[in-house]
Amino acid sequence: MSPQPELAYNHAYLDEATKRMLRRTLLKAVAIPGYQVPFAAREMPLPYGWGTGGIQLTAALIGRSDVLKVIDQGDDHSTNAVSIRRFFERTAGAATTTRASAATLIQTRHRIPETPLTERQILVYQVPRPDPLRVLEDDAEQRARMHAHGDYGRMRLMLYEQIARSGRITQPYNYPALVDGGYLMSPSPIPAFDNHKLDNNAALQVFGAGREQRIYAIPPYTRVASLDFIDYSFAPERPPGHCSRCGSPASYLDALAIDDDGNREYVCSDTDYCQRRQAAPPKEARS
Amino acid sequence: MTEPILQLESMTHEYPGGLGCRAVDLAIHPGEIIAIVGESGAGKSTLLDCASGRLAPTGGRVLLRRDEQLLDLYTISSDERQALLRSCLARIHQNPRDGIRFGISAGGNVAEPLLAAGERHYGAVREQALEWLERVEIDRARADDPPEQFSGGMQQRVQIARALVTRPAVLLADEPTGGLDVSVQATLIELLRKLVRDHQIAMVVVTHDLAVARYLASRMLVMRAGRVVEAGLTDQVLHDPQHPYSQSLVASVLRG
Amino acid sequence: MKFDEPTLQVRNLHKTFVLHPQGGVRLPVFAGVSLAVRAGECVALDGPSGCGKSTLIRCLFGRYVCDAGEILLRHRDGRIDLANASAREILEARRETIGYVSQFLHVVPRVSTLELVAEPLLQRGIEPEPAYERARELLLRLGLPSNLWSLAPATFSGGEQQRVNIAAGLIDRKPILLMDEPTASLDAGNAQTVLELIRTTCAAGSSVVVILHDAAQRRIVCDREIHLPAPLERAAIG
Repeated sequence: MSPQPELAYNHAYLDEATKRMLRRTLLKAVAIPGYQVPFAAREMPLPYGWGTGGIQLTAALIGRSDVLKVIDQGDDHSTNAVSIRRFFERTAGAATTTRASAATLIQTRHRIPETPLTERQILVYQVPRPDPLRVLEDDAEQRARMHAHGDYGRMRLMLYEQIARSGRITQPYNYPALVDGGYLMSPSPIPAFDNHKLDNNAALQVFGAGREQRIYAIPPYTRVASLDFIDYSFAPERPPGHCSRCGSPASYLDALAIDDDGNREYVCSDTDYCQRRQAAPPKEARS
Repeated sequence: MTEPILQLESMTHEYPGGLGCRAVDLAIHPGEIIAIVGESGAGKSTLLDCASGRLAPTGGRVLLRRDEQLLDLYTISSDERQALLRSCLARIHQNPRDGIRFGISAGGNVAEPLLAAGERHYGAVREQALEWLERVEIDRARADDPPEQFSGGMQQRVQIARALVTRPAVLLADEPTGGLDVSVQATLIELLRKLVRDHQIAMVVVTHDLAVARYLASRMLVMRAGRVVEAGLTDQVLHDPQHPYSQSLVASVLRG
Repeated sequence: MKFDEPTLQVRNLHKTFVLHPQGGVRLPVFAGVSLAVRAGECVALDGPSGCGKSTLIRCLFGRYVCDAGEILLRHRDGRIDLANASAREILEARRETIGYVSQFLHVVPRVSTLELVAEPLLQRGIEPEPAYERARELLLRLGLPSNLWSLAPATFSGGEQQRVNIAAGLIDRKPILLMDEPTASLDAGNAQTVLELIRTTCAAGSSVVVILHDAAQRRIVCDREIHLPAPLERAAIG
């Protein structure tokens, strides 16, 4: 047997058979919006919890003409985002960017970019826990049955209890949403504030959970309805105020500590969005 | 005479180890209460599980009358059966822990079946839940309390409210007062009787207590080793039992 | 359906108890009993002790099972054979056609006297207020004062319980009424009231079959007496 050649990776690290398997799984996921499709996850060179699911999806999708953006909690420059971006630069020779408008493939953890996406783009989510019913029911078979029957009363009950206790729905993130009137999905721990971006998005949205070995998808222009009540409609909270750097009144804000006395400033979670606004402030009519 | 709402036709469920229930025939009408008595292990709980759509029989049929149609509960799709379970085939367990959710408020427990059935107005759902808690004589003020804090009798009442909130056509109760104080039993039994009468529910109650059967039920089935050995008017079976087993069952109680 | 046809007709009725736990011992009670009662008639069942009077009454109500024979009631626009009817048919007959006042009140906890007596009317769909009003009238007539009405009869004396029982049995007049020793625990005055009530019931068109051990009372209230023969030989077969 000939000695192993100098370490050289297949395009995007995974072998072609694996990538085909992932794409087949993706096709199935797109065909059944919101349904968690099991897949045989591969060992990736990073630990579980760091985006192994998302990376496998990106690896299956990334082509020679793709431009990749990676964000972690909205930030292009976190350790994880940087590592993943470099990974694909090395194994796929990928072109990368921090600009959402320039990317064709965006891998994200826990946020949806503020910049509206287009039909040319795919958003890949890293998801820790794919099943929204996991918080309610330990038994996997029971959960499967609940999904099969559209038996989501217990999830609605969870929101009901929040209203009974606090006078309003208090679910801050991982807010359950119904995809195409069918399956209930876990949007991954994005803030509830971001849920509306799931709905009727022009881009294809795909979700990968490496440890749990599930892939699910929201096809473009699909109705995604966050669970609510007629008299308590979905109204997620947003940290108040404007971004202290670009002045945006509408983006999701992160709180950053500015000193050791507990003082904080609020800045856009989406760094790319914030920078673009700072560079070219939009001509907004003062209302 | 009205048509039966639920019919068991030679219904059988055999477990791999043997016993279950065999060849049970039963027809129950709206507003009727039928008692099933017999020693434990006689197959009564299995009967209830099959009759309520929660366990497929291995033989025979379970027929539910709905919208002028007779549905075979186990040949319809599981989706349809689930929907029927949620809306018109209620089940009460002997141990309230098997029938209510801990970790959810009492009001939430009663609200859940409404939410599962598709109601989407919080205020309306909450009001119905509170009304039903009142009907089972639980103070509205306790609606947001967790049932873990309640007495056994109160937990049982939460279970009853949760079972009846969707106004089911049929209620199948397994020893609804087993394990409770005698005085609490009497109140619960009377509560059940009135609710069933007011809402014209057909109720099948499994009990080992012949006094409960006598008080509630107009008809009675005696089960032994999985089979119905005698069926008839409650007062007839209690006063003039025909089958040897019925005779010893009745005699053993009256002697005590 | 001729109007003067009997409201109750018993043909060739047989009853034997079989005691399985005691090796299948057979206790014959009566055989070949026949009788007929017309509307408005009050008939006494009489006979020596053990002849099966109470047993016969219970058979007529469907509480006991008969081995052979027919119990024909004029029911709705036709007739029903209670000895061979289904459980639900018997229940319907009990609701509409035939009533029974047993010897002893079946005591139920926590149900007040007033509720107990009004229950037959409430079950028939009568509105609560008129039902309770009628119950109060009847209770007063039977000498049960208002301070007792909200109490459950469990603590009452035998005579008081019996009067509650009778009130519940008479409040919803049925075409046929069966009564087993209705005056047994009552003093003369109350017994007299009960007899009057029975006569009123018959005058309104009901047939009454009653067991009264007191011959004088039988003469007051009954149009005729039916004698049951002495108990059959009790041979241990089995």
